[in-house]
Amino acid sequence: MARAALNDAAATVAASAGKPPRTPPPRRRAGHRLSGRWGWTARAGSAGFLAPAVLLVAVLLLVPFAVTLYQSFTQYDGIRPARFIGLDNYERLATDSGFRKSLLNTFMWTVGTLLLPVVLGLLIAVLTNGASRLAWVRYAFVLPYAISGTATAAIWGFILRSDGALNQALGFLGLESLQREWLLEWPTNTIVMIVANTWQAVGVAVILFLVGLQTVPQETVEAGTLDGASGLRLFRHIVFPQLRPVTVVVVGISIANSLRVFDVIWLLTQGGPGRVSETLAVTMYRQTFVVSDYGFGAAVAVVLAVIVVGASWIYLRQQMPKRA
Amino acid sequence: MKHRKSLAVVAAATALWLAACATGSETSDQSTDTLTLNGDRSDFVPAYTAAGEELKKLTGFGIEPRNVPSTENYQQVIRSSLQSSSSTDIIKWWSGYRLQDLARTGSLANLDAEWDKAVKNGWVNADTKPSFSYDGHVYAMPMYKSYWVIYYNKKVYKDLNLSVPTTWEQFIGNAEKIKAAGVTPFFATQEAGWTAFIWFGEILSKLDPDFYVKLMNGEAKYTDPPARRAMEIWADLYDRGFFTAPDTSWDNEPALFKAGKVAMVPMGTWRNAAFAQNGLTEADYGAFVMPPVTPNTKPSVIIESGVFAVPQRASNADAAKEALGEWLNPAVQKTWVDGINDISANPQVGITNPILTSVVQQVQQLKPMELERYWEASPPALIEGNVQDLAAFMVKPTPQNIESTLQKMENRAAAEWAKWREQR
Amino acid sequence: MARLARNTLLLLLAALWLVPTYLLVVNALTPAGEYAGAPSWFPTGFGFFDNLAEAWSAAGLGMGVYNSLLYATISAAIAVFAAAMASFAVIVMPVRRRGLWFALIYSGTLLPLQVFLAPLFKAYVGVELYDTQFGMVVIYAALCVPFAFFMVRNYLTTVPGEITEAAQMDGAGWFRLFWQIHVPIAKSSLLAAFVFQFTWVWNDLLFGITLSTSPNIRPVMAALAEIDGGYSSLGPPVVLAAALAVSLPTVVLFLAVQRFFLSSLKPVG
Repeated sequence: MARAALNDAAATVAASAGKPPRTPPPRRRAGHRLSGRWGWTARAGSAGFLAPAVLLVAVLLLVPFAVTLYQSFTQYDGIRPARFIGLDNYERLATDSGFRKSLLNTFMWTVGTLLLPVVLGLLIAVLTNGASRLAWVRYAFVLPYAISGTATAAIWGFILRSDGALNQALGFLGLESLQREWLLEWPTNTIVMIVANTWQAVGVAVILFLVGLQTVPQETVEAGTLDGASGLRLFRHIVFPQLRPVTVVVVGISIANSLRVFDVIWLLTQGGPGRVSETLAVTMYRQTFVVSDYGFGAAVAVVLAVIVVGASWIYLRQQMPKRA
Repeated sequence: MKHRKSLAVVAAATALWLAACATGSETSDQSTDTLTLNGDRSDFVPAYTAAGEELKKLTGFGIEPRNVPSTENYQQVIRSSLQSSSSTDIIKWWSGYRLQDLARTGSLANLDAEWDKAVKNGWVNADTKPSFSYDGHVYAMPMYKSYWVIYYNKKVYKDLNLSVPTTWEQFIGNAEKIKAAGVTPFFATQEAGWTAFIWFGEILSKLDPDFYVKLMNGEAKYTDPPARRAMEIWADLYDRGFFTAPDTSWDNEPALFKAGKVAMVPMGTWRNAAFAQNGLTEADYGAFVMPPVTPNTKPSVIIESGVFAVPQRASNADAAKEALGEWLNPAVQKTWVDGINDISANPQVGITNPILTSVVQQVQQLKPMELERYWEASPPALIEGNVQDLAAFMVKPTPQNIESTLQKMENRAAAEWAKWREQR
Repeated sequence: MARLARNTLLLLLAALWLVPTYLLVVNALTPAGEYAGAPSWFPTGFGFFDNLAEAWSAAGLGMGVYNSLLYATISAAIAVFAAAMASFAVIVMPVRRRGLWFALIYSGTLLPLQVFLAPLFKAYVGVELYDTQFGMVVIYAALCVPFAFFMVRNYLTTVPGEITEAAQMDGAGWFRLFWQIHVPIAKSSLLAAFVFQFTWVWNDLLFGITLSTSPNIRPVMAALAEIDGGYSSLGPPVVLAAALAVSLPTVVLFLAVQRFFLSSLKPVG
């Protein structure tokens, strides 16, 4: 999920930031016979090293996806054998108004999950990095990540429902005019669910940025201060550019995970009311598991996969270290 | 060197563990004298086992229940395993068109003989056969027979000197007085998804039960006057502030009802178990059938029966059929309905719960027309879509939205009925 | 002053962030019998352990915790080990088409998880892995590999090539090189990957529900799902107490280990 993804990248950035990119061992030009330690024994060895990971992923993840890809060209109710119908499902997608809403929500989620956790994470990392006495405060932001999905959905439901904690608090503060049916109106419900997701996702961004900040060389900052820059200017012109590798990772991971968000939405609104808060992941689930139109759901999944892979790839290209 | 040794130890331990890996206690080593049963209601599991013991005395086969805690995932599991021998011997499913959705794939075993035997023994009302059939043949046996009633909080009623309504005017009058006293009269939510159809189904059926039947079978339109009138009534009730907020959590319903924050809850008699387990007794709550809207409207009540079906390719299909033939036996049903605190599909089986008894008595007096619940009364894809539209209406229940909601539902009905009939 | 302003802002944000956690704890404390259908801001009685006990026996949480511990530890370990080997192959060894292998493994993480459920269910039933511990371990390991791979691979790119070449001049074979040089260097990223994947497996619900059904195979979140939902008569406080309790192991693990890999992620030297 979002947590795992962002988390994993945490360690990568820390070490990779500020280091010269690793140069792979020299490759012989194609056509030369590889010999010695670069010969077939090495290739057999590398096959052995690659095999566990590749086999696990290919057999258990990629094959099911290939099956889903095939199913997207069929009409399949989950019981009777799938019947090939070509691009019919995709044509239906193109004209389905619910699908367009779903795309819009997915886009909102992507933008929201890029802005909120990334910006907030950066802010909090910067604030806790400087104030060493208050460093413990960062636990407040990092802990929600470890709480289970059931508990998270339960508590955010408590907060966001019409009779929930948020409206109670607003009433208590005399702000009755701000009370709303947070989960019932679009686009409000999508936005508050993005906030609920941010509550968990920001912790990872905080860690990533904290780690990135620790790699900013002290000398550069001191030099900047000596030149008279301070506060915001210091950050914008000295510190932030050094954070570029971190930022790219956070952004890249956020994109991939924002497009896959499901639990929060399903448990809070089930994509409703009237399907207004569905994203592509939710639409896929609904079409497959609720309406039992497996072919149509598969088509939605394929569209989502194309978007996720495409969007992630753009960032990964920047991320991968350049060859010497 | 040290690393290598510890690695070797770990590798050996893992290999040993993997070799001795556990397999599911419920799915491996299938004994020959139990039938496996799959369902999505964890609260039924103890009752399945208890009823299974009675079945064992009669047929030599007990029941070993499994459970999938999510309804959507349960549906996928059943669909994926229905045409293979990996499905359980008995599956819990829904009646009406949802059953037909499975039966028309040819994956379910024919239960005509078992049904006829039950009818002959007086174990089931023969009029209910259509709910459990497809194309004239029976494919499932009813698990229970729940009536949809209005539960009311007796304390609220007593405090406001209200009596159980027998006419629509009394029903609405009660609601008005309850609202004036600061209590929410009716519980309604779309938070759980499916609950959005409840009030639409209730009002429409109490307005014009014959139209309800036609509409459910695709012989009338959502845009016809009775449907429109039902929506108008519903919108009016919303306008008077009679309902809970549409995003009230369904989990909170028993607590709100018990605390007297909500006075009346429309639910099937199966909900009785939840109220009882929350500590409510006969002194605290009762139930009545919603009165018809006009005096000349035929009385009606909405019925719901979960079903048991047997996949053709299940490993113990024949034994499962035999067991289902004895399912409605009073000996089995007595234990079963005691366990689930609901009403048996076998009219001979007595009920101990006083609230359920009162419901049965009311039904016997009213002799109402029995209607299939909305959820099972039309093709599933149509219902799933319409429920979403009804949910959207609940959020904005204004007269202006009535037309657009009905139109959306009618458009979907036209499309889905065409699909349903074509896939015959 | 500036410092005061930023500290205040920080504390304000932290307080805001703690509100949901606070509400979670308070509402898990509410005794089930006193629950009035709406969340409360202040503790009303202390029913946490009663709630938890009820949930524990109703849902068979003990067995679920045991299963999840087993799966999370073993699957994460397998995934991290496989990922480390693959990263080593892609970065250090002379593999052709590195980009392809990276894409192949990493793409496993880009797809929404529901996509896998129906095909995997059928496949598992077909090869009789359905409802087995081995089946659960294998799918969790596969799901954990892509991110672990991404992490460790990037970390290994920072290892200077001279170390590898020096070791090879000493006549080290590939496995010795991997096990005695690169794994110790990458220890912090391996540990971090392990912790993150452990948490993910621990919190998984969908695969637990779909690929297992018996209480002795089901992971903890799937067991918890048995008492969650409107048909259960146990009530929200009980479910919350259980959800909170089963979240504790990951919180504890994270707190215990976080300081270690956060600080050890600093560049060496």
